Amino acid sequence: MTEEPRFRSIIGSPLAPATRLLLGTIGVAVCLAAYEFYVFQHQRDGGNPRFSPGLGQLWTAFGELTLVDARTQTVPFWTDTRASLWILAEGLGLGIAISALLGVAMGVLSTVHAMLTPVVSAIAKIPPTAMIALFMVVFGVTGDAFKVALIAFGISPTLTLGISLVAREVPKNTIVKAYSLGATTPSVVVKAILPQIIPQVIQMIRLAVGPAWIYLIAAEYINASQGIGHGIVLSQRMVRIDHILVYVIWLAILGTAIDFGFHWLSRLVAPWAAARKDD
Amino acid sequence: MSGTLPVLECSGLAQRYRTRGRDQVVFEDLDLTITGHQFISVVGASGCGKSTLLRLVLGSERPWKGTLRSHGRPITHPDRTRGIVFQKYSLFPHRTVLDNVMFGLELAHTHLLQKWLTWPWYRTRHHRRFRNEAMHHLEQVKLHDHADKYPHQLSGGMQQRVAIAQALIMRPSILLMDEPFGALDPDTRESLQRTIVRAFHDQNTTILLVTHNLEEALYVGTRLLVLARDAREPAAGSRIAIDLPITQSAPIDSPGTQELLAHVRHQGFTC
Repeated sequence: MTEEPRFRSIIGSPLAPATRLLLGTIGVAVCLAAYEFYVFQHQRDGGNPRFSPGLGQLWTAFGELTLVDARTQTVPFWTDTRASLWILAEGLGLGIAISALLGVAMGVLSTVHAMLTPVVSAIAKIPPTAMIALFMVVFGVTGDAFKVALIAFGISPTLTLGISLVAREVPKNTIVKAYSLGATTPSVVVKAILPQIIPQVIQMIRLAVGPAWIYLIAAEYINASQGIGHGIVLSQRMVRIDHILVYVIWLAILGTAIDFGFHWLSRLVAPWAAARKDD
Repeated sequence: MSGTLPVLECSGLAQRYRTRGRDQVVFEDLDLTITGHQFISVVGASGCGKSTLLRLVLGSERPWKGTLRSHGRPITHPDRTRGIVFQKYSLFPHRTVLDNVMFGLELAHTHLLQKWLTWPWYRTRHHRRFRNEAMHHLEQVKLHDHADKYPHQLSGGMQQRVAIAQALIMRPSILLMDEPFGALDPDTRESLQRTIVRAFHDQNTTILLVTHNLEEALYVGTRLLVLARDAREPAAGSRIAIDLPITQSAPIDSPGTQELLAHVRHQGFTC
C-alpha cells in the first residue's frame, strides 16, 4: 500500500474492495450469530422450537420445500418462484411500458405535461392495495391478470412522473445543439434526449422493483393457487415458521439478484454514466 | 446567388423580456449586416443582450421586432447552417468524443429509419466516411488521441475543442460562440483562442463570438461590435455603440490597441 498524500477523514473515506467484502461478510455473520443466540436462549428457556427454528432447522426446511410433490411431480418451491417472477416481470414490463411512453411524452411536450400532471399525481396518491378489490372484479379472481394490473398500477404513476422529470431536466443546450447539427424533432428525442436519461430511468426502475414485490406478495396472499405469497400463506396455515422464514430469505436473495441485474444492465447500456461527475 | 447575399442581415432588431409583469427591453433598433469572411467579436456589459443577439441569430428565440435573414432566408429555427458552441453542456454526455463530432454528419445524411433498415450497408459505407472526416476534424483541434473517451473524461478546455470540431464539421455558414472560453483558465483560454483563429482561416467560416473579455475580443476578431446602453436612458434597450474593423491578432500592448481599448472602455462600458 502506498501512503495517501491526501488528508483522510473517517467520513466517507474510501476502502479497498477486499476490506469492503470482509466487512460485509462480518455484517452477515453477526446477524446470523445474533439470530442463533436468540434461538438458543428461547429453547433453553423452554420455548417451542416450532417458533424458533435454528439455522440447521431452516436448512432442513429448505430441503423439505424442495422435495418433489408426489401428486403433481413438480417441486412447489420452484414452481412458486417461477410463477411469482413471471407475474413480477409481466407487471414490471407493463408498468415500465406505460410509464416510458407517458413519461417521455410528458417530458418532451409541454402540452402533454400540463394535461397529464394533475391526473397522474392524483393517481399516484391512491394506495395501490386499495385497488385489489376492484381489480379482482374487473380482471377476474382466478387468473393472474389482476396481479399484473396491480403491479403496473402501483409502479407506473411515480415512474411516469420520474421519467418526465428527468426528461425535462435534459440541458436545453444539448437540444438546441442537436437542432443546429441538423436534427429533426423525432431524432432530437431519440438521439439526444432518450440516451441521456436512460441511466436515470434504469435507476428509477430499480427502485420500483421493491414496491412491485409488495403488490405481488399482497395479491398472492389474497388469492393465488401458486406463487411465493401463496406458499407463505400455506406455511402459515400449518404453522410452519421455518418454511415462512425460508421463503422470506429466498425473497431477499431474489430481490438482491434483480437489483444486481439492473445495476449490471445500467453499466452495460450506459458505461458513460458510471463515472460521470455532475457538471 | 448565396455568395452575393449577406451571411447575416438584421434590421430593426429588438428584444424584450417580461419579468414580474414589467417589460425589460434588452436591445432595440439593432441593424447589422455581415458579408464575406468576418470574425465578429461582440462585447458589452452583462445584461446588454450579447447572448440574446446570439440566440436570435441561432433561431432558438424569436425577436420582438425586426427581421433576421441569413443568405436572404428568414431565420425561424436553429438549423445546420448555423453552428453553435456554448460555454457549458455543449457535448452529448452519452457519446464518445468521436461520436460527438460525427453526430451532425449522421443526422444530416441519414434518417433514423434508413439507418436501422440498412444497418450493415450503412455501417460499411457511411459510417467509415463519417469516421474519417471526424478524425480529420479532431486532428485539427489536436484531440485525435482522445477519440474514444467520453466528454466527462476530458478537461473543460478539451471539451470546448471537441465542441468546436463538432460544430465546424457541418461547415456552417456562420459559427456562433457564446462565451466559449469563459469557464477556462488563462493558459487554456489563450491556446483555444489560437485554435479558433486558425479554424477561422482554414475553414472560411464566418464567426460571431460573444465575450465579456475585451482583450479576447480584440485578439480574435476582425470586426468589433460593442453593445451598450445609454447611461442617460436606463429604461431604453442597448444599441450598437461601436462597430469597427480591427486587426486580428494584433499585439495587445501595441499603442494602437491600447488606444482602442481606452476608447472602447470609455465609450461602450458606461452602461
